[in-house]
Amino acid sequence: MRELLLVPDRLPFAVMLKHSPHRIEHARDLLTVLVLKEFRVRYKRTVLGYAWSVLQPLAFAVVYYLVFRRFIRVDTGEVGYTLFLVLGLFPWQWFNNAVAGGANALVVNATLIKQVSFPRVYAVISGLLNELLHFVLTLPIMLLFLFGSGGRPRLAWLWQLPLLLLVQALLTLGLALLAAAGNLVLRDLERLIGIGLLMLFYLTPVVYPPDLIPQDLKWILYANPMGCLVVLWRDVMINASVDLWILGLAVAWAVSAVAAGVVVFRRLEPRFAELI
Amino acid sequence: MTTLPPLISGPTGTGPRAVPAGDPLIEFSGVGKRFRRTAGCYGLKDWLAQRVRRRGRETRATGWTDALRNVSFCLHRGEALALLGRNGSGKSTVLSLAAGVLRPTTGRVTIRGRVSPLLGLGAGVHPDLTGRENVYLNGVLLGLTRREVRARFGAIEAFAELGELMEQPVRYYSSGMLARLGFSVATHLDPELLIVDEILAVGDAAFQAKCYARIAEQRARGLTMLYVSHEVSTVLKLCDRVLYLQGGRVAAQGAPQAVCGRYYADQGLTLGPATSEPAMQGEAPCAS
Repeated sequence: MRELLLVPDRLPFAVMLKHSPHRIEHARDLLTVLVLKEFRVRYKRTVLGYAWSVLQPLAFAVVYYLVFRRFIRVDTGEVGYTLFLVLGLFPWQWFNNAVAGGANALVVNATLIKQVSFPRVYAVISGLLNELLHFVLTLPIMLLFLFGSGGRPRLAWLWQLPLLLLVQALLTLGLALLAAAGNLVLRDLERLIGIGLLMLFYLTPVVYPPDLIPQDLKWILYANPMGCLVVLWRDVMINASVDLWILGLAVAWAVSAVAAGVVVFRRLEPRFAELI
Repeated sequence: MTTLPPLISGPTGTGPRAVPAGDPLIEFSGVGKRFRRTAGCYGLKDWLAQRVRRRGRETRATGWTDALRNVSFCLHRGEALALLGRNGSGKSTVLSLAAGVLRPTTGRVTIRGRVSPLLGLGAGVHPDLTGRENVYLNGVLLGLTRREVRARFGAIEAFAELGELMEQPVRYYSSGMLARLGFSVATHLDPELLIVDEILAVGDAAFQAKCYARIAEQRARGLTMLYVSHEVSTVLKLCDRVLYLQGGRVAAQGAPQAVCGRYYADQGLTLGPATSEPAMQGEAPCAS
């Protein structure tokens, strides 16, 4: 028999309702302090601080430009290669950091998890919020490149951009929950995820256009949620158009990731403190 | 000295408190806890090894250790219970279960009301945050909102007497200063249950005295406490009841003087009856 009774959860509904403003305020504050902590810890004693999150992808962009544009001469048609690259690289960077960080989210907070009984999902969500924040802060740089190459702001962005943000946020949430919980059971997962992300990067059309993928191998693009999302991000930014079929695929991926993540996380949650 | 709301039914409302005061705050009935013998998490290598010789002998990863067996006790509201026992006797496991951090393998742990104590003082402290930020982090992890922490911040700051250091990263604190911060936070955030896990020894004499006074003050207002210390003198001074653990089982529980005496006797020491100081005369005499 395994049981832990937490009486507050069994309170009459009226009592719960009376306290719900407090609960909501508390949930918000819990996220705030954890996000702040994360931010502070990440940039502890660095001179450039937040600028690193922009400098890193930009530095890689220079190398990719040299290798794929100048050496291999990848052709991206009317869209300049630099713009093409940046529009794919920043969303990828967000995905990559969120999933890799998710695998570590619980391990990094080991002392908290072993000593305080707060809902563990906050440790994962606060990390994800941090990555989301970083991505939103890099959006102006994407726009800078876009307007620099003659693009213009579109009215349709008002619904397209939040939609893509939401879909990718859900996708990273699901995968981060899976990675965080799984990494406690099997510590090798962290390494596997590192390798997996690097492989996925090359399978995702970040440094090359998707039409370079031969027709019989096109399924690889659709089987890859980030492949779908990178295509969507570029289409939205450049043409303000959304391929509904690809959007549907991305949504399906995101929803299944969240479902799997929530199931696995909740299943393992009671054992986190002893697994960590 | 402070104008904080009363501990148990504060108007600031730190969560639902609709539990009748008569029920114990924490109840263990027949609790057992088992841990995997290897570090808890195990790698791909062990996992594969286990797959390969599935029906074979016990592998490293499949060994189990019983940290607790059939432990039953109650902690009533307003009571101070001391956990006594030698290293590895299961005290920390009891604390983790009472804090709701671990789940029992067998038996039942009932936690009534809003009990989310910090396990040990300074438990949720992060070295890269300043003292101030840690106060907020701890407070919010304990279940208060930032507004509620803000209302108590002045009192915490005054009690800790850290001065300028409050704005410095905790990384630069000495262990004594860390204890000051941890204790001030833990006793000012209106916990329903305070867990004190041998930390007071670090502070200087004046601060220790202040801490004991604070505990006494809070206890008078109804604070419930779980206290772990090897200093029997403080156990006798602070606690109503003692639970003595031996190898994961309850060896004795009851009045402090009697149980502490037994604890000392088991180690071949004697407990001074009149003074509350343990009488230790040179080498421990060998029991024959």
